[in-house]
Amino acid sequence: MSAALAGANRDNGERRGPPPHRSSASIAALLAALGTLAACSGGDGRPDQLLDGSKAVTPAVELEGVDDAILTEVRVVAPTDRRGTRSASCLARRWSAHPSGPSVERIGVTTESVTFSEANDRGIFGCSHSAGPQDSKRRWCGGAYGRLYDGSLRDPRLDILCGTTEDPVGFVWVTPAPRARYVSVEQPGYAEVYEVAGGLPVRVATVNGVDYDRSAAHFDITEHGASGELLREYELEAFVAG
Amino acid sequence: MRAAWRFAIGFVVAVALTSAGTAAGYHTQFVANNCNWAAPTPIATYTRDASITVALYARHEGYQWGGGCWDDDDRDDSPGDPPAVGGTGGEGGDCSGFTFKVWRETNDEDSTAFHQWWRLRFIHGPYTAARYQAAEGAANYPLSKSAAIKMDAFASGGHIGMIYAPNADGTDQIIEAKGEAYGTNIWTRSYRGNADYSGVRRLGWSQP
Repeated sequence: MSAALAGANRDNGERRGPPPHRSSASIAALLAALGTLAACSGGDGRPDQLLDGSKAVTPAVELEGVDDAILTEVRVVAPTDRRGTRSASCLARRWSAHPSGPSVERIGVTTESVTFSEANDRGIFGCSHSAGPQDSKRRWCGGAYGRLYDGSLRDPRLDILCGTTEDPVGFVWVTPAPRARYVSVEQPGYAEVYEVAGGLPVRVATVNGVDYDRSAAHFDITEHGASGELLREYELEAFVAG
Repeated sequence: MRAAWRFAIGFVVAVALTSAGTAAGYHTQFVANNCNWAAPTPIATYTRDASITVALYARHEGYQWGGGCWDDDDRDDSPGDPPAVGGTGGEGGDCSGFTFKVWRETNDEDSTAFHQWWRLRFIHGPYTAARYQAAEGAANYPLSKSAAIKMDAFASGGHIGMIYAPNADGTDQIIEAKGEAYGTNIWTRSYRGNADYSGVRRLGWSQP
């Protein structure tokens, strides 16, 4: 893994400080993102809607230790149903990888993604996007590819892309624990919750954890079972690589 | 039951910390001890030949997954780092970071400007090989492989290398950051005839 699972058991209520070298640009990004969210939320920092305009809802179960959770949308799309979907537009990008099986489309508060499994289980790949000043220039801000080694990613394949303001968003794939049903990522003022789906790693985003100078990003993640119970809690430090 | 989960979480964290400690004790702290975060120097002109000179400074300097900092002593000062482990802070670039720095690109994906990143300035840049393959970023342009010349690149979803010189037999001498076990060097490769690879051109080269 190129990402360090920087151990951080927060059960005692303590929280680690920001990672070393987090730049002033990142702090500016945080402030800018907070400003953006305040403009489109009820004023408590929790956004009212997702990127596609649908209403932001909470997960069906309470997630242990997670406040202000917003459930992202997820769709598992069969190859025969791809026409006109996000999956189809992603495949129009320049790829040498060929998809196999269903794809997983996700829509978050300010981001969206598609994940495919590559034929012969060689890897996974997909597209990522965020609402921002650059989004009118292309359908997808970027795409990622991760080769699988014995069925697993060696690193989470960080992409730093577009952004909610002038600053970028970071995307990684998270491989959840076997029993995990939900993956939660801390965002400024809320937690973005992703349902595990399609048997594929979960493409998650951070809107305030990107450190441009280090080509790196920081994610605060929890994983939960079907009843919302906490399974894992960790900080993920990821680097653009390869 | 809850106590059991607390124990499980503690165990996972302990394993993670043990692993992190191993990595921290293993690597050579090359980045921490030698590299900097200086601002790049914008430059007005940059030729393909000049970029070859820049690339050759990195030759024999090693490879680092997620890396982007090297000196010029013709040896890997951080040999044998674990493959695909970013952040260990060793010497060398990885394939995409090496390309970014040799092509003197910027962190601004809308810019085609040339930014000189000094050898000891740690920078990987925002592009992975997959993003180079898709020619993402204003400075990168999709290119027919048959039209590729020196210091154009061939990129796949997982790797990128630049053309040091084409060979008569249709292969190319590729300068690339190949892997931890290989370092950064020039090898004859057949990317031009490999369907997994696409051509990519850095826009804006100056004429010699």
